[in-house]
Amino acid sequence: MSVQAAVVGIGQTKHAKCRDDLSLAGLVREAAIRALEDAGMGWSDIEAVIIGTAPDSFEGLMMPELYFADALGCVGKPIMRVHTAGSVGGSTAVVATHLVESGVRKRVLTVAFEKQSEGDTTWGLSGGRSGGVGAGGYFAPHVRSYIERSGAPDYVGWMVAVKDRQNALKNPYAHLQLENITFESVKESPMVWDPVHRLESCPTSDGAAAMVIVDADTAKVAPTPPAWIHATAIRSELGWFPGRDAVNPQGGQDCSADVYKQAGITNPREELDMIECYVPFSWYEPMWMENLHITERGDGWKLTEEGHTAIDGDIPVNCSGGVLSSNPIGASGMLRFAEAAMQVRGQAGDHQVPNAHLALGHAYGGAAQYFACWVVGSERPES
Amino acid sequence: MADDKPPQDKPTGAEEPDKPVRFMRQMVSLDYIAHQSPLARRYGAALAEKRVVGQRCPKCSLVYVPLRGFCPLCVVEMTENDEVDVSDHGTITTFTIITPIQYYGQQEREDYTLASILLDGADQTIGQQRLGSIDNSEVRPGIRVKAVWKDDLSGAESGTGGAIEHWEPSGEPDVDPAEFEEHVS
Ligand SMILES: [Zn+2]
Repeated sequence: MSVQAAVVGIGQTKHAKCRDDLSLAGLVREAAIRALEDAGMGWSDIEAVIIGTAPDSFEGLMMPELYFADALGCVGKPIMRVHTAGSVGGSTAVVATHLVESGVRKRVLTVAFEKQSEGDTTWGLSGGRSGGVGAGGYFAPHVRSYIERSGAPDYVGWMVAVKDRQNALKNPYAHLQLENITFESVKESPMVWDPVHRLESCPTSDGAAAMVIVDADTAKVAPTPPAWIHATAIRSELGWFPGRDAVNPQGGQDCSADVYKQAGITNPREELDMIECYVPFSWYEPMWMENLHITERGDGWKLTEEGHTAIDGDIPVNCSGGVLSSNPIGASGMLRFAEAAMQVRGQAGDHQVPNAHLALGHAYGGAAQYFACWVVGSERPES
Repeated sequence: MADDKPPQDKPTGAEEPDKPVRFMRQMVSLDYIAHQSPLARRYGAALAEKRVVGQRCPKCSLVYVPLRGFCPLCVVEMTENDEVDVSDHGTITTFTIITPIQYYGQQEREDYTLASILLDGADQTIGQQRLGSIDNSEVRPGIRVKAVWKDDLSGAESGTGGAIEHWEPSGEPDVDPAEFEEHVS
């Protein structure tokens, strides 16, 4: 049996359109220091650092990790970078967890980040050429396919856009604070990648997230309640092959099925107290509810429409405001994992789900082809 | 609308005189030499002859467009011997209408439609294909389209965008979306 692992420290920056008060190194350091403070630890307690960010072309900076050793207190310590496109923040936390579960390290700092203000993601996505249509241009046809085949009414996307922004108002770290957002304002916002309106898509943000992941013996003496890591899973698939279902990818179905199985979850809708999943465009909430086996295929939109995914619903989704409210791309996956952990630690402040004991963190990336999940709980899992 | 002059003339913050200038965008012109794989070269060479070429997996017989070099489902190599021509007629499986963001250097001014097209004889869609000769509001999954080839095919080596002006309705009856549900991406 592997070593059990837990999250004992969580930190994040205030996410914003432009954090021009900080360098990239300063940004990661701000998140890391907050995670260490939360864990009651100093730099010397950390044995290794695992970091993740989106492809270098998004920021136009080659291998930024090479200059972070000082900023992350890891001179002379192992540092490793994970690469799985937009899902990277989740995958990075999973790799850090593996390092502890395998018994190789006892105290690992994991950090994910993006400074979109200093780069141009659309340019990076199009291979450094002009003329790209960005992630929205790529995903919008998949959204249309979902709407066509599920028969979902168009206002479900607007509902998600409003719900997540209202949740963000409860989260002081969230980038967008749209106090006056309404159903109407989403509907009336410009159509950028039909059928995706401007207000149904994520912002571009600067930000970083960090966690301290430790072994069970360290977790037991932590100053604040740990979030026990019950299970982690990663799956990937090629972004092209005949019969690939880009709307409900097999890789995502398998990833969530695996993480539930490991965690002993047989009915995720009933057993999970909240879900924090990667929704950069509003329609991905119903799409992922189906992919994550919360509902049957074709029914995801009904969960949203009936209010089940609201913060006071029976399966709250994206209480932090989600990617729709903050999108420092490389950090976005880790922020989902961190929010799940904050919830089961009772640390989520105004966006806390009462008595959350078991939560799912989820991230996806690439052409909806890379997936990462973890299940965290307030109770130590039976070994 | 995009400016005629590069935006480095307008440093961020200049509109707020009491604030220091923190960012200055400096536009640079980048020239690329793109080294293409043998697969992309053969695909482009066929396009220059107004042909769309694919590869038929020797094991499962599924046809891949563009050339991929292997079938990931069977994990077998596909070579020049497996190449087959597919039609320049196909069916739109899904699409998006792009409202182009007017960044500096943007060439597009009007909304336009990009579609995923399942070509006749292929088992995989080609994505992000430009439509023409049809109103954006008229586009729907299931429409039959055909390629409108460019007169000048010298840019064909860069792919369909360099060889095909756009895809336009062919006038054939629509296909029932249930028939291509497995080919949305
Ligand atoms: Zn095959």
